[in-house]
Amino acid sequence: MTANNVAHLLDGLFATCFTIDANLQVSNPTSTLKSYCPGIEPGKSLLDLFEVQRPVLVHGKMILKEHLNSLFLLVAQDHSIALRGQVVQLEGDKGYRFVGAPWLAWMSEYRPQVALKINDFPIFDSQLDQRFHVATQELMVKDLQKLTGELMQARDAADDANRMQTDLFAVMSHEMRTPLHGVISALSLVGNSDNEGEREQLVDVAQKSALGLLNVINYALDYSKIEAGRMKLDSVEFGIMELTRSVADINIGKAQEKGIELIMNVSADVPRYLNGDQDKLRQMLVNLTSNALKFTDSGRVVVSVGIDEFMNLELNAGQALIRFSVSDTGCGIPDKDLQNIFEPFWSKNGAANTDVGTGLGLKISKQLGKLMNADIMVTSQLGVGSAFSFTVALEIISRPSVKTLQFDSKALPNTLSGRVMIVDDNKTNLMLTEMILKKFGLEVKAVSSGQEAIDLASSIPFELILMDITMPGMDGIEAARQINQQMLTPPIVALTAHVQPEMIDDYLANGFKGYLRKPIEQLELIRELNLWLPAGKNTKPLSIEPSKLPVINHKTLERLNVQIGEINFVRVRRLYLDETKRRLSNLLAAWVRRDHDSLALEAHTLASSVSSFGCDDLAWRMNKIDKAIRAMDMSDVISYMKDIEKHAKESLNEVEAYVFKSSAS
Amino acid sequence: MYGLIHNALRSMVVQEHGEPLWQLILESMEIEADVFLSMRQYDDSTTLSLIAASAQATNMEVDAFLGSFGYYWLTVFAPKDYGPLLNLTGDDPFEFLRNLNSLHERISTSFLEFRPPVFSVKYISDECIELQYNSTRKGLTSFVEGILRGLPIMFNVTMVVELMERSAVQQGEQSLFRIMKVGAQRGRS
Repeated sequence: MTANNVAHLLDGLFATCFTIDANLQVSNPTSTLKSYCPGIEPGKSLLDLFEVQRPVLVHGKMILKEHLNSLFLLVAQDHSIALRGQVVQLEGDKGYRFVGAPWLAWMSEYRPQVALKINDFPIFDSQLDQRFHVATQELMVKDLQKLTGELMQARDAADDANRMQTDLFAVMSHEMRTPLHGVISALSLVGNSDNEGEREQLVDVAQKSALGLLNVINYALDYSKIEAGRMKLDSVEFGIMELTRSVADINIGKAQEKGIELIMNVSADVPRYLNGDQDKLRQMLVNLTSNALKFTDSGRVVVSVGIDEFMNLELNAGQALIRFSVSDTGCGIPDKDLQNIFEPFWSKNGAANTDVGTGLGLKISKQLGKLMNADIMVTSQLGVGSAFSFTVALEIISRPSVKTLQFDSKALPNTLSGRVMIVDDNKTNLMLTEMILKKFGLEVKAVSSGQEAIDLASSIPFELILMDITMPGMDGIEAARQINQQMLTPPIVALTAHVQPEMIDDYLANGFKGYLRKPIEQLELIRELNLWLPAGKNTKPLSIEPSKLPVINHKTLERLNVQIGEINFVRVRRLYLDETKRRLSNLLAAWVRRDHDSLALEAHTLASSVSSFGCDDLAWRMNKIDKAIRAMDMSDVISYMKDIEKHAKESLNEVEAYVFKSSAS
Repeated sequence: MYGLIHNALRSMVVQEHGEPLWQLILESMEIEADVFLSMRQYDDSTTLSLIAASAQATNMEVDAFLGSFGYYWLTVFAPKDYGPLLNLTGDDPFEFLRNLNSLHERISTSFLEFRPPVFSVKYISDECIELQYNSTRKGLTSFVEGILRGLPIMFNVTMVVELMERSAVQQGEQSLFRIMKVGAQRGRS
């Protein structure tokens, strides 16, 4: 290959080339090079044209043959271009040829305005690749910085949560220890006291301390629910007077104890019945009122409810803006503390709360308000008092439906008869429940595991089983399932702290007939026991009017048969039986869930539908249930709900039997 | 596809619709971390789902959204970090398109799993070319169309871009565009 051919080949591979002879004179620059560096003219000296940065020249002299393996970095003296390449020797003493490309790093730094082309760089020249790689690496660094930032944020949030949890734990421990100490001390003194009056006083102290303890636990649970975002808004119809009365009932004891006047003031223009989250409103008002009472030593605490005429909120049709406020004549809050009072565990002294509560009440109220789009506002003047207020948009209800039934336990028998099994792995709960049940005159068997319950249920008949759900080994649901597989199964009622709607549905689906929330409330227990057990000896049984109607009215069925024909009758009968069973199941589920609205609705619907199929006795009972709910008479509801399943079964069996006889004839 | 694309998508949605919408898009896809590593290869289905979810969240048809994304990619996102390299690719739109394969080849040295499309340029006249786009991926023609519509901004020229054909091939997609320069050309902006 001739030197020219070699030069041609090199020029095909490299965009910037020129020849250098032994005297360092330059010739044959490529057109690309000339376009960037017009001053490169044949005959000019390399050193006149370029500053040679690499290789490093010794005494300013360049001996090319010594640098055949060197990297050449040349910067044009006029700074028009910088080149990066090497020198190769041409065959036959034809000199040397510089081959290379623009020096990208230098050009980017000093001549960024020169529009270099991608094709100025040979494919195997890694300058562009490096440039791209560096840019990408920079992006990666940015990504990692962002990721690190997010991780640090997450870590800080976790640290905060941990700190909060630790604070909560510390405060809760203290708050629980105080009433617990009251319970333990009072009860230990009861045993040593012979004085009846003193014993009563001690029991009273123990009871109040236990209620205080329950209160602290409820606060802690609410707080954790809010923190976990599990608190959901409910919507129920309620009476505003009942709401304020219940707030007063809860706080009146404390007010009287401190000699403070507690005034409830509901404006005449506030609608009497509203729809909203009654429980959360009550909780907010109770918290604010109890907080006001804590910091007031004399004077009054006023809870006011009125129409908010000033707040500019867009309302849906049928809504009203109700303003709730709690004001007191207490010590007041310094301005500097106003922004802190809604922080958890904050106290007047700036330290963790020690003597006036969990330090969570205001925080919980604030969060509950947020759920209802209500911001709690506070104004205060030192030595004069404070006022907390919030405004909520609530739906106005013209006619209330039934949610809360009046419960007069005196209307129910005070003793009952029958044998009851209690299943609970907690020995204390077991003993206490046993004592309560025995007071009703019941025969009680107590066992502490699911397996023992199954064994006992198969050897002795029971009228009722109260079953704990969470037990080691076999849980209550599995034990109930196995007991239900036996013949003559007694009703099983769940004893549980988990009473969320989905849990209750689960209990029902697994054969439970009801539930009792732990810790067991006396009235709830009475309700459940009366539902399943007969009255005790020498006790007036539940006084309900006996039904004088036949289980089934044959004339109604015969008339129906004639009206629609036998074939249609058989088809309609199946539909009727299926629909009635479905509605009965809804009725029983509503009863278990204490959903009295649905209970009334199902009873009302069933009264009408079963009557059209001649089930006069069942229709009469459903009417009674409906009326008892409307009259808010819990004892009557219990009386009629008792055995409703048995009566319903009897009626439906007769309908089925009637059809059979009619077809046979 | 590379996380770089996801980051560009994020940048566009946040810039044009705000951070909350982007968070909603991530939530709808049940993606917890809002960080995509630019050089990490993500499954194509993740990228395409992100694009579909973003289109839905912005009330756009997927193709229209991809068009906007291509335009954003060329005119906003790529110049931010790769501006000098884009500048090397050409002095005018046609030269840029001619060198696009070369650019992608260079990129392949850093992005080892890069599966670039292939472009063929056919000169109809000095002012008009036909550009054939071939990709092993389906459904990205609109993204390319968006890029082509961004070229006049990059080079400060007036151009008409017309999608002549779009067809799914055995593995991927093939489309033909006609691009015409209009009026006096002004050079790179």
